[in-house]
Amino acid sequence: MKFITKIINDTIETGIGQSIIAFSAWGYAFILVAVTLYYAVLSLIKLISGNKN
Amino acid sequence: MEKISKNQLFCLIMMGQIGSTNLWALGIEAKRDAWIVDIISTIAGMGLVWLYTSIYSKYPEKNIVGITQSILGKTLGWPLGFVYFMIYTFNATRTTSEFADLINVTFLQDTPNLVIQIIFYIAIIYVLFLGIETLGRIAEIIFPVVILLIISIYIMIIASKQINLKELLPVFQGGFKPILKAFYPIGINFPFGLVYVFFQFWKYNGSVKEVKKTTYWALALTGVNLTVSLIIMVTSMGFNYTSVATIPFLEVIKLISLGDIITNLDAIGVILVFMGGFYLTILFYYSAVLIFAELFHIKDYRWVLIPLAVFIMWYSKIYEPNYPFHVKYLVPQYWQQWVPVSNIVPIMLLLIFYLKRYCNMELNIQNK
Repeated sequence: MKFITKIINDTIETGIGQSIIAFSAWGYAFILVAVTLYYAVLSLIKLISGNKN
Repeated sequence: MEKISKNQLFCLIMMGQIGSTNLWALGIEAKRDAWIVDIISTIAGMGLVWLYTSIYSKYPEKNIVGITQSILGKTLGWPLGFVYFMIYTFNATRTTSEFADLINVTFLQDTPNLVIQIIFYIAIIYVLFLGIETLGRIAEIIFPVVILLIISIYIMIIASKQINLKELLPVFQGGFKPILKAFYPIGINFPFGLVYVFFQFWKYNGSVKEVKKTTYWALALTGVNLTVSLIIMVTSMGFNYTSVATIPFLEVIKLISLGDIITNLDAIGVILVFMGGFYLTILFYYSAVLIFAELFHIKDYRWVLIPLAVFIMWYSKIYEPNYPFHVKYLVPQYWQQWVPVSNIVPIMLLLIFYLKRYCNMELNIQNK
C-alpha cells in the first residue's frame, strides 16, 4: 500500500500531462488483465464442455 | 509500401540503443556490480524481444495500432493506440529536452535551448518527410562511423593506461538485493523495453524471420556494448564518480591521452551525444506521428509532422524545466509508463490472442 501511495504521489508531482499518461497506462493494463481473465474463463468452459462431449 | 532491409533495420535498432545506453552508466545503482546488472538485463531483455516478436509474428504487415485492434477489436484497441500515441509523444518530449539540455550544458553554453531544439527538429522533419527508407539508409551510413568511434574510444582509453580492473572488486559487495533493484524496472526496460517502439517499423521489413533474427542480434550486441562500456567507465573513473557524472562516457573520453598528442577528443563526445539523441528522438517522434495518422485516418503522415514537433518543443519547456528534473523522474517514469506498457500489456495481448484463438474467435490473423 505504501508503495502504491508513493507511486501515485510521484505521478501527481510530475504534472497533469504525466498523470494522464500514467493513469491511462495503468488503467489499460488492468482492463487487459480483466479481459484476459474473461477469455481464460471462456476457454476453461470450452475445455470442460469439450471434455464432457 | 516503403521497405527497409534487414541491415537497415539492424542499424536503426542499434542507433536507437546507442542513444539510450552508451552515454550513461546503466545499472550503476548496484555500484561495482553494475556490470552484472547489465548481463542479467541482456539475458532477460531477450525474453522481452521474444514476447514482442511473438506478437508481431501474427501480424507481420501491421503496426501496434493494427495489432491491438485485431486482437482486442476496435472498441478496446483504439483507445490503447491513443495511449501509445501519448506515451511516444511524451518520450519524444523527454528525449528532445534531455539532449538539447545536454548539448546546452556541455558544448553550446551560450546558445538558447530553443535554437538547439529547432535545429534538431529541422533535421528530423526533413528526414521524415523523405520517409522510412531514407531514415534506414542514413542509419546504414552513420552506424559504422558511430560504432567505429565507440570502439576506438575503448582502445584509446585502454592504451592511455587509465583502466584499473580492481575497481570492479569486491563482487556482490551488497548481495543480490541492489542488483535486483537496479535490474527491475530500469535495467531490463532501458534499453531492451524500448524495442517496443519498433512495432511501428518491423512491418516495413515484413519478413518475420528476418525481423526476429535482426532484433535478437541487435539486442545481443547492445548488451555486449552496454557491459563493456560500463566496465570501462567504472574501471577508468571509479564507481563514485561514474555514478554522479552527467554523461559518464564523455568523462571517459576526456581521460584519453596518448603521449600527450592524441588528447581533448571531446568532439567525439559531441558527435555521440547528438547522434544518440537524434535517433532516440526520431524513433519516438516518428512512432507517435504514424500512430496519430493511423488512428485519425490521415492518409499522409507528413501533415502531422510539423504540428506535433511544435507541440513537443512547447511541452518540453512546460514539463521539464531542467536536466536534474529529468534525472529525478527517471525511475518513477518507469513505474508509471514502461511497466504497464512494455511489460504487462504485451503479456496480456499475447495471452488474449492465444485464448481467443482457442475459443475460435475473430482475430484477423495474417500469419498462422
